[in-house]
Amino acid sequence: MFLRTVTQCSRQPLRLALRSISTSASHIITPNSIITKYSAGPITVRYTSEHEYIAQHPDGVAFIGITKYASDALGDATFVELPEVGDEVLKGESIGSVESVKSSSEIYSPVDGEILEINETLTDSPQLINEDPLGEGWLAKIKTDIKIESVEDLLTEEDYAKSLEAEEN
Amino acid sequence: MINLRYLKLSSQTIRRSHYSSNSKQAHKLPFDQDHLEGDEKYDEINSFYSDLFCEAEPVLNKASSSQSFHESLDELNKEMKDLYGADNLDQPHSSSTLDALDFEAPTLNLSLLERLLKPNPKVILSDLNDPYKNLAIEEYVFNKLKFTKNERFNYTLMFYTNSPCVVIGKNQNPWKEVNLPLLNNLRVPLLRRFSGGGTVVHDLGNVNYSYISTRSEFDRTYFGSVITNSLADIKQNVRGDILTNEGLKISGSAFKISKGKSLHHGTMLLNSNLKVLGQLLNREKFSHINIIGNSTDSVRAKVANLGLENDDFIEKIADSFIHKFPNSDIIEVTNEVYEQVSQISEFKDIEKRLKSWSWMYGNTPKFEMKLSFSPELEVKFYIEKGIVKQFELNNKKFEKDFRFLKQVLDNGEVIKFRGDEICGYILNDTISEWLENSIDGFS
Repeated sequence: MFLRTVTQCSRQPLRLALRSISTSASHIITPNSIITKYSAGPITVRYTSEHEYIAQHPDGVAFIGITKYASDALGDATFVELPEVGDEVLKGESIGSVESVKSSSEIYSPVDGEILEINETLTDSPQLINEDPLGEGWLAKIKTDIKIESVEDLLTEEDYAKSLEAEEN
Repeated sequence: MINLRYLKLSSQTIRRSHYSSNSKQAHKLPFDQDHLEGDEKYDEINSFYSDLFCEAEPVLNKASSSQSFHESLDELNKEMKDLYGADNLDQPHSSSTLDALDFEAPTLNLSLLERLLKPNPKVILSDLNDPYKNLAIEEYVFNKLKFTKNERFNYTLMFYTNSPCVVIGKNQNPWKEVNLPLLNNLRVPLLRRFSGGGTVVHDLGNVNYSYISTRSEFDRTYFGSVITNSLADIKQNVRGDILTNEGLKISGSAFKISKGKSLHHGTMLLNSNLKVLGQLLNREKFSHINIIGNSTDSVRAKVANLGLENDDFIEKIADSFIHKFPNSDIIEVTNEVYEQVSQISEFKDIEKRLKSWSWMYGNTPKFEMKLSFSPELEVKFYIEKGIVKQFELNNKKFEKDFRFLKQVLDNGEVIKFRGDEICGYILNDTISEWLENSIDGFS
């Protein structure tokens, strides 16, 4: 039957490959990084199903980047396209992309807001996306009025981890 | 058994339209430049052509290769006929062709969008040869496909063949990757695609395939293995390139990930005019130019043709796909389908973007270009989003020739990094022409 054909022919090796990636990945913001040092905290962290994270400080300012799962799956980053400071972005709108081994991967803003700062070091050191995506490899700092814990479709760390497991299966 | 009758019919149509275009518009040959004679502005370009394709002057020691230059000239002119005949390729089907497709008749009345949204796997065959149209359709298809949890099996395979053009990766620098003066003077279209990777040349002997799947199933080598398993004597490397057993590259890949979906597309060199089209990427003439920036570099590789007919390749790969997904909808993108979809504003936006200067050139990552005019003069331009931000000269003696350019830049005027725009601000004619021809030869 059709379903079985798909499973046997095309999906098995992929699933195995993905499993090995996700088990080694962490979704926690790097301690003592530029992201955690911005304020005394506490920091609220949420994730999208597209593997972006957003880490928000009490004053509403938030860091956006991609998860380790995403950067591992993409491979060595060779170029990072960033938004411009002052850009007004809408939730779900592209705020840049990461190129790695011939793949261009779009990054979307998890919330509405204004781009306050971009991580210019990625221009010369795109490999930070792979080495420390949840720390020195942050992409953009955004100012938003929205409290991210109130955004329904953003995932907590626990839910994000579960969604990765579900993706494997 | 899989009924490939539809596939065969449509690919015959592609072949027919391909050859019927050759007699058209022969007067537009690129080397027919009589009207330019006497205009010294074109001297350098014309001598550039001579160096590339014509029998050498006695002073130049190129006599041994003159025969191949003549062949190249003929071949290139033939390619250009195909190129300029491109608009004639997209003939609507005759009614008799449609009659023969009676088993598909019920779905022919559905729009492309309606068929894309139906939850089944799809094989899309484009009859069009216009690269802008094909890239726009590919992007539109990618954007429109949905892979929800309940409708996961929307895997899509698209095939298209473009008339001669050069396609650069999303984050590349066209000034660095291609021979812009040659492209501009031959009027070979240059496009920036939406996926990563390096520069490729397309012509009618090259078939492009696109495999669209989910993001979670993204794999750089999966579809390549479908291809290598479908054809004899070829293999795949870790970059997802497909090689002959001798190690010559016949297919290059690029990928895109967005909105939960992934796209793997690649070129397949079947009967491409490698020698001539290679000249379009040849930048040996530009050793006086040095470019510094973070754009993605192309990886040069020795290439070869597989030698299959376009139709045979498409049928073999589509057959493997349909074998995996027997309920595939087979969608032919005819001129009629194009006319219909091109009324949709979302599609128009994609096409407009592909054709816009701000995407083609303006999306180049910021860079510096240093041009050495002579031991006495080096000019360095700082370019962001394709716009000249500033420039530097190594020799004060020439400042007077550049003072007008400096003035307009200091006034904050937007000067695109185009030869024809910059040369108007340079007060020394020799330097002005040299800059124009070095930057892009736009004329």
